[in-house]
Amino acid sequence: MALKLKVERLTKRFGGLTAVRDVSFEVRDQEILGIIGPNGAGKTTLFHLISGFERPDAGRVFLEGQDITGKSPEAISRLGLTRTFQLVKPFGKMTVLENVCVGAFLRRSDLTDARAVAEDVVELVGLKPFADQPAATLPIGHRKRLELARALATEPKILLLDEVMGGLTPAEIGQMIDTIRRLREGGLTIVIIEHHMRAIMSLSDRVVVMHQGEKIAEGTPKEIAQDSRVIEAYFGGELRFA
Amino acid sequence: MLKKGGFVLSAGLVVLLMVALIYQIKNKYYLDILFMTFFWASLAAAWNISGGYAGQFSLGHAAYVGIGAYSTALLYINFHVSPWIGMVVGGLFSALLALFIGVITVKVRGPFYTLITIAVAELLYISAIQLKELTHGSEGVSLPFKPGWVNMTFRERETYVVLALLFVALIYFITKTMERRRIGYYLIAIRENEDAARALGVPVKEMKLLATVLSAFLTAVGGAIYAMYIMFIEPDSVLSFAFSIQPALMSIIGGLGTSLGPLIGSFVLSPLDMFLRESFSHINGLNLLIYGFLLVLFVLFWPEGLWPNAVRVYRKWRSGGVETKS
Amino acid sequence: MLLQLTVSGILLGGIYALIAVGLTLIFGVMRIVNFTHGDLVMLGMYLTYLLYKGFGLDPYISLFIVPLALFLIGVLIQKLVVQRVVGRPHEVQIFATVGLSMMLSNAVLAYFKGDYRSVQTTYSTDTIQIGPVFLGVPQIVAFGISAVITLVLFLFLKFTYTGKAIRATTQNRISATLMGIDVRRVYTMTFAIGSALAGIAAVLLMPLYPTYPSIGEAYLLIAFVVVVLGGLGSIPGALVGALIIGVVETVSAYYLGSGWKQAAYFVIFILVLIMRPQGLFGQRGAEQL
Repeated sequence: MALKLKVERLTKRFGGLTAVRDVSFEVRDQEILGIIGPNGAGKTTLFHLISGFERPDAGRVFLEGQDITGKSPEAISRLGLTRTFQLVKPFGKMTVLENVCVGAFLRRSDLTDARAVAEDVVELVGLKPFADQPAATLPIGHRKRLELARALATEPKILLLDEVMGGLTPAEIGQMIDTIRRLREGGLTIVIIEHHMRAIMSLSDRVVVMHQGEKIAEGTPKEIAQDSRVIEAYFGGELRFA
Repeated sequence: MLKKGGFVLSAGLVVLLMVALIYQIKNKYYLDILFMTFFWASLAAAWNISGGYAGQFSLGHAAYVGIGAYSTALLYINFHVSPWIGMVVGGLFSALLALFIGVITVKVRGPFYTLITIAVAELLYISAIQLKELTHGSEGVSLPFKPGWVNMTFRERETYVVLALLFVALIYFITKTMERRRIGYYLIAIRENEDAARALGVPVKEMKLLATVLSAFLTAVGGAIYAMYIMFIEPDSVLSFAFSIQPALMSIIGGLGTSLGPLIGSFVLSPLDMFLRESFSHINGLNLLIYGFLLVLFVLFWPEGLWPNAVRVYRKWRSGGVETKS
Repeated sequence: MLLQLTVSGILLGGIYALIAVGLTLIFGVMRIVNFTHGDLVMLGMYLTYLLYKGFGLDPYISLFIVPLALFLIGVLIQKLVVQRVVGRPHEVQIFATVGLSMMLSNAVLAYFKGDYRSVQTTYSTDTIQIGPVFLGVPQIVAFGISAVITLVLFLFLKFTYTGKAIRATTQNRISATLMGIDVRRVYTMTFAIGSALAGIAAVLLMPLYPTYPSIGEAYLLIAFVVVVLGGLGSIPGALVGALIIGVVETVSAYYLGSGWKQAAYFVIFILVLIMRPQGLFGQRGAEQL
């Protein structure tokens, strides 16, 4: 399978603190890669580094073989890698559909075309009934979906999802898992940061575990669940799957 | 929602109606109020493109008014260049200055952008006073009264009023058109959340530059029209801080980042301004005192401005509390 | 001549330091760029003028009254306006303080008209000679008092509880709150102290320069130049920046003419913001807020 994303020995320091240290991994075409780790493990910083919001102190990022290290977020998005934010950032005064149009305009220059794409995406994530509401009025669950919808509208090759399930009800999580699965079947490659263990273990083909800025394990969900280092460092010796 | 053709048609009708009305007014003072209202509306609408849509809070737009006015006036009296051409030249100079400011301020945000724009406008003001050979300093420049379309000089005040009206209509049309296009969506997205916009591939720097350059160009054209109307310019009449603060004020009070907001702001404030000057001419600064008060009041308690609130109230009233799309 | 200009510039810079330190303190603690700061100086100058005109009070006696009045005005402004915009978007902070500035300067304009007002003291034009340099007495007094006040402020921030609370809030608002510091009170104290400093500067300026309603704008811009040069939020930076700007002003006024002197520091201002936006002593990133 073709290599979609390659992260090579990324390191980022903030003052005395090393947020990400020497992290490498690869993502294959149409794979779902989960990234887990306790709070402060450096997951979100890792996304910032890949998506161009922070410049790494060392290391490289390759998107489909092309070096994208140090490129701007907008350039990286244009090349086909789009990320979402853990703390959702809706364009509050725009409607849901207009929010999604902003994403769609990346590959469509005409409003009619952009709207068509946006309408499809809004339907896909289940926000159609709210399409004409100002984004600021959405409850958190819908905002997470909007975050996903906007990213999808940029028609990316690879999607970086940062905790899109945080704050969702169990039913909403089920829907979100379905949506993500369908996206992969549609040809997308997905890297997902998630705290919700059951979701990530059932979604991911492989999982990368981070702890204090370093990658401490990588493997299939099954291997991860049995890895003694992971259990030790991350779960404090106790691992339960509900 | 109106279809595009319908919008152009109805806007055209409104303009025509207003032109017809203008020619019914014989009172010079009322015509003056009307001209100033349209003039301030055009400056506010132009400021709004960068300040309201792109979130670049300039308090230095006086620089562009001044460049527009001086370029037009100086080219006209020194080289007999038609003000219509001088206006465009002034616009281009302003656009260049805006481009320069935009490039040097790429990394600074918020209040620092505002401060740099103030500093640039002050620099221009000082230069206009000091560079006497070019600008005649504080003595100012008088424009000759030679009526004719080529000279943009008219016997009837009505013509100036119509000119100002058409200019406002043009800016309104540009803004409206922008709102339906990628650039409008992008600018609002940047204002609402810059990081999210970048993540979606919005070229933030380029969009901000585009908005400020357009805003500067239009502001300079406004300055040129103003110069031809008052026929005498000096640093205090075209480069004063009022030209920086009032467009911002009107946009905020009318509704920042909306196409109608700045116009409404001007329609409310300009007549008020004229009235205060006329009726309380013995109290200097009363108009600005009230402006300051309104500004504080609005940003503290109604930061959205008049227009968005009016729209909301209207929709609620019409649809019984259900939000609808414009 | 250059020596003369430099020394005069440093003396002038001492007064600017008082204005700028207040501005930078307010920014450091509240993260607000206070566009009314110049008008606080203007108010102080008019108060000094009124006390002189009405009661025949020498400006140096007003030194015990005007800063106190400004302190109270600061408390009022903080409670009525500034407190409401802390943590809100830039445009709200900018335009709320700009609006307030318009109110203050135009209220004074409406009342006093636009004329220049000045205080004539017997010592306004006294000079003393030190080596080849002639120095005005009011300038020396102003510099001396500025230096003492700055030292007092420094000791206050270093050793008193309120001072420590202010410094803690500057470093981290959230942890300050967690440590039991009443952040609101700190804000009010900071704004009031900043205003009082502007008041002291105003009294010291009055024997030297006339005042007029829009003079605040000039002092605001000077204070901004100083603060940006020194690094936003940095008090030592403001001190050094003020001395530099004082010298720049006297030197450029002499060589370029007084009409251009303001232009010189605007150019410096723009250059600093472009080339070293964190200023001489500031932290990188402060300018991006």
